[in-house]
Amino acid sequence: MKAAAGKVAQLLVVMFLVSLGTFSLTSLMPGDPAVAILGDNQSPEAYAELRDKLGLNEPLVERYFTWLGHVFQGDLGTSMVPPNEDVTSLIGSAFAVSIELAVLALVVALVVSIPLAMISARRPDGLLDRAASATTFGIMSVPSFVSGLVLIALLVNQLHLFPRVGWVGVTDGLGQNLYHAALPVITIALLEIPTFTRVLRGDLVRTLQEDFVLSARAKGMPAWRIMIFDAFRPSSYSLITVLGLSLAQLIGSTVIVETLFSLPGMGRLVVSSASQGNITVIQGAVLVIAACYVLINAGVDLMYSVIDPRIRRVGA
Amino acid sequence: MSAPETAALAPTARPGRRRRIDLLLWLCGAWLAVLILAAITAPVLGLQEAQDAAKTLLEPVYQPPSLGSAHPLGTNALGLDMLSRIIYGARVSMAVSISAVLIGTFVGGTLGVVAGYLRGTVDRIIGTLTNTLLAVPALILLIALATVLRPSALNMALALSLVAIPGMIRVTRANTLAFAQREFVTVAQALGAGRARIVFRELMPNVLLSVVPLCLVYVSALIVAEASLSFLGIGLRPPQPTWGNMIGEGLNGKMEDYPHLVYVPAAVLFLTVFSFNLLGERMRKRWDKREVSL
Amino acid sequence: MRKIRLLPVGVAATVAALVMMGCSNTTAPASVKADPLKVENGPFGMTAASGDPVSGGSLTFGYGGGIASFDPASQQYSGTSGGDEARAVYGTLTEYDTKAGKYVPSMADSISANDDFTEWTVVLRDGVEFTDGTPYDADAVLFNFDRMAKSGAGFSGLWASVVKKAVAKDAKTVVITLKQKWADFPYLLSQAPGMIASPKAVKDEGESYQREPVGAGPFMLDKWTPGQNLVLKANPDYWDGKPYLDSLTFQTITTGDQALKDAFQAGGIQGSLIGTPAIVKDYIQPSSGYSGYVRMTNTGSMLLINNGTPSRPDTPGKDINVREAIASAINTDVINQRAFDGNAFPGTGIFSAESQWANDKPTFTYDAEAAKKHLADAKGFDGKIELLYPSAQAEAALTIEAQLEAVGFKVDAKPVQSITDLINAVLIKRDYDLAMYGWPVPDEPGELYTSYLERFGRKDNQLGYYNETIAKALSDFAAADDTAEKAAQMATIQAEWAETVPAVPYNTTAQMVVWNKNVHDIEVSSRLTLDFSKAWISK
Repeated sequence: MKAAAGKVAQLLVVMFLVSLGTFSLTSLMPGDPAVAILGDNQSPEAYAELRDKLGLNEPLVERYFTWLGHVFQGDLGTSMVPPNEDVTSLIGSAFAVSIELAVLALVVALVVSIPLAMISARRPDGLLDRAASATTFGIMSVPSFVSGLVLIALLVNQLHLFPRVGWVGVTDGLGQNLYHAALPVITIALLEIPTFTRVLRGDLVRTLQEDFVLSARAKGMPAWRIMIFDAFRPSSYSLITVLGLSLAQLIGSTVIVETLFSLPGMGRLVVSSASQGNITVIQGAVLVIAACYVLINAGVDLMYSVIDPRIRRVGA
Repeated sequence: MSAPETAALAPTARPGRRRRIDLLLWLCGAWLAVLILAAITAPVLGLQEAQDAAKTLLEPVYQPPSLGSAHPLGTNALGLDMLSRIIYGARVSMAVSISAVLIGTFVGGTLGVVAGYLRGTVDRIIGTLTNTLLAVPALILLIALATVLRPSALNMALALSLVAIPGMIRVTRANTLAFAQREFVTVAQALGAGRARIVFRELMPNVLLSVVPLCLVYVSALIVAEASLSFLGIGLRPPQPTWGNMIGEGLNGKMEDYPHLVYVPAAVLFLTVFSFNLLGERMRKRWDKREVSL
Repeated sequence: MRKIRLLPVGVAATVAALVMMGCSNTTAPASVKADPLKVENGPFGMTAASGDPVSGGSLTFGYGGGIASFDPASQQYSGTSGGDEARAVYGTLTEYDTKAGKYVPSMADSISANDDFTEWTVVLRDGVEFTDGTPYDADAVLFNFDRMAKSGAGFSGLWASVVKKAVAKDAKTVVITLKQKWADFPYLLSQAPGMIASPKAVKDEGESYQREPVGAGPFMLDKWTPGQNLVLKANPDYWDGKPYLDSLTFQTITTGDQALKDAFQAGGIQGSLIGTPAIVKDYIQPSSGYSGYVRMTNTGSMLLINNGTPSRPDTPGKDINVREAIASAINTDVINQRAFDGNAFPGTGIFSAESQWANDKPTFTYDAEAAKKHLADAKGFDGKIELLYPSAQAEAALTIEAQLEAVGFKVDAKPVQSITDLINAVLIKRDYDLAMYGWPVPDEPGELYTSYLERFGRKDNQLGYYNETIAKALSDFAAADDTAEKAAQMATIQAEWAETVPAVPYNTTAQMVVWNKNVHDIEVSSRLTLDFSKAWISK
């Protein structure tokens, strides 16, 4: 119980530090909401006046604690730049996009990785294993902006299979939504497939050498049965951990893919707000991203220590 | 971009099987050796102009690669030589990434060893700092830093090292926990060695040696990160050649007409990242075996 | 058994894929370049539709930007930034007839001036209502004028410097008295000041009005996700009849013209706005299968020279010799080749060759020897000069840097990350030596006058340059209604410009609105804003 309270306290401290860091950093950023709002056709006095009105001339510390006070009341404020939307709703819609991209990408990655890992683990160092390892190794070394460009060149410009840009929410039709999400999802999934495959393959190979598998094999059970029903479950713990961490990292870290495909996710929200100096939005978005990371991490930690037998073995 | 997962790499199933010469490893090593050598000796290689467009006003622009010509890998929009830009770009990309990893390893390693050895409050404080750094996605952190800092190679290395630090802290801390139980540490303690001595003389060398493979993987990850920033237009500024800048030059419709603007730097980037990854992985396997035989 | 090595195969395959991606894209654009296509102002590719307009369908336009706020009081819309969206919702009191080259009433019934163009009378139509049912009358118009004048943003500055007062003569007549003679005043009413919002909605909604506009234009707001897309639906009670289109969508695509082009070809959008010269030249060809409208703008790309502003009184550019040296050092053909792949429209005059104001007065010519001589004449100048440029235009900037250094300047080229920063340095702080900046100004007299007035026609401007002759010519241009008279004033400005070198134009830019061939009757007005009220899609 005390340990749990300590954990929670640590999480809060982390969040506090993240928000403080973000706030100081954004105040140093070159963007200026006054210019973003007024454009390039006003007198210099008009900009100065607007900055004053926006409270940008108050000391940083003061602004931070005002902001923090509002956050504790559940109010992330409004965007500084027209149309001055509610930050909470801005983040809400961007978050929905990011989480959908992340989850779909992870699903795609799993669908590819699990069979690939099983095939590889069946005969370690065999032809298939090395083929899979070669492929994943190659994919791992392609940065997402390069793989994204390759996919656009081949699948959009040559084969016309997918739309180039744009995002359609789930509420406007699942089919259209998936159609627009497909290419970005594949690009992100490519980043995750190598890791997933290698993690699962490693654990499978280890499990397959354990006694219960060997005895199952001795009883004449077919190899695919053993793989799926006996070996997979005990081998999936590391995969689950990696999965959780990937989910936490993907929210907000898919800036490149979002930029490449014009997707309204968290990454782009932060980047575009940064170029305008739209501090309230950056603050709120980074806070939410950090909260996600911290919470998912805590969840993974918890799960890891509860279900992974190896941890208990080490502890014993 | 996610932090590299070294712990996740597959173990060697049947040790001792790869007794033959690993051709690919040698190819990768050779590629890196040639690249690094070329990068170091770039000024004396007699390369064409890489950076100063004032000197290339008479050179052809957008020349496609042609091995026999004066510009074997072609030229860009300003008539700058692509081969020369690749090599000078390697200078920047490698210098920045490698120094970032060195900084990250030193700072992260020290903090990790200290945390792992001292435990208690120090461990908790360092742990909180690590979590704070990890809680902000690396690319967002880099973008924020890149817009604030003046884009120089040194600042870029410092910013990138922040990406490597939390991972390094975690791994070195875990390794320290393992090493701290070992005889040489307990013996040193019994002989009355001070904490600082144990941390810096006994633990650090061992722990740092054990993270060398991770360092290689980080180098490749940071090369990609640096290229990503340049690609987004917020890394080192043109005309300073970096691989990301070069790939970025091919965007906005130019890639269609002049594909070499993109695929030359992209191929070089791929080969380099691949080589570092492979080197790291093979080294880790060798290491694992040694661990087993200990 | 000999093992097949798979990793090398994988590497080879990936490299091959990269190479393939390059090669597979090599369509042959060479023919386009060998035969440079003339790009002219005006419509292109328009084909007469077979049959009468049909109702129904929805149209999607893709833009790099998008509307920021629907409150016309605080905005300076244009076709490149929110003008189309706002115009669809509000309509405009007047519009620019690009074919006739004059301003005509649109939402207003008529607009007329007294003899010396200092008093303008706007008469509204009978029975027009906002979509909330309130009347579109003189009170509503004055309410909007008043809000705009007090907003401190948008057109308020210009409005205050030009308009003395506006009063209602009766329920549907507004009389506007100007502080100066201005024959093209209706230009202002074709822009945000002529977009009239429902006073009731503005009062009721307060802060959120900018997100939930109520106008009397051909379309009304259906759904808006700022930064993503905006969906408008037809206004069934539009005074000129319900639009043919059921709905109109504006899709935001922020990744550049290439992405817009890709989306166009993939069918995600049916219309767009393009500024990249290569794509403009591609689309304007009859074989492209698109129609649309091209607008060549004057002074599209400028090398601004600080002539001495309060924040930098000792800037090198205060010496005419330095300015002359810069003007002679620039070779626009080389910039075109290196930065725009030979697809741009180089020129050093204020007006593009296509412009109706083009004249035979001297422009700047490249002459390296003359540049060196001018530089030698600049006493006490060490050659060091700073050049600000937007990082997206690195190639043009580096070419300019190279050309200046070739004649003896020592250039410190400083990229700025965002346009915001450039605006900050040049326009607000006025703290720069040289800056690459865009001043795209069309031939249209109203916009031309207001743009140049702000930039060099008034004292205390971003160039730190003031010239009586130019200021007078500009105000005479505004006062004149006669095209020949206006052209003469512009010739005076060009001559004086070449003499005093306030800044160096190096490229004309083209702006293109383009749509599929089966889309008809989109009208183009001031600042490239489009009118979709009569647009329709043939089956």
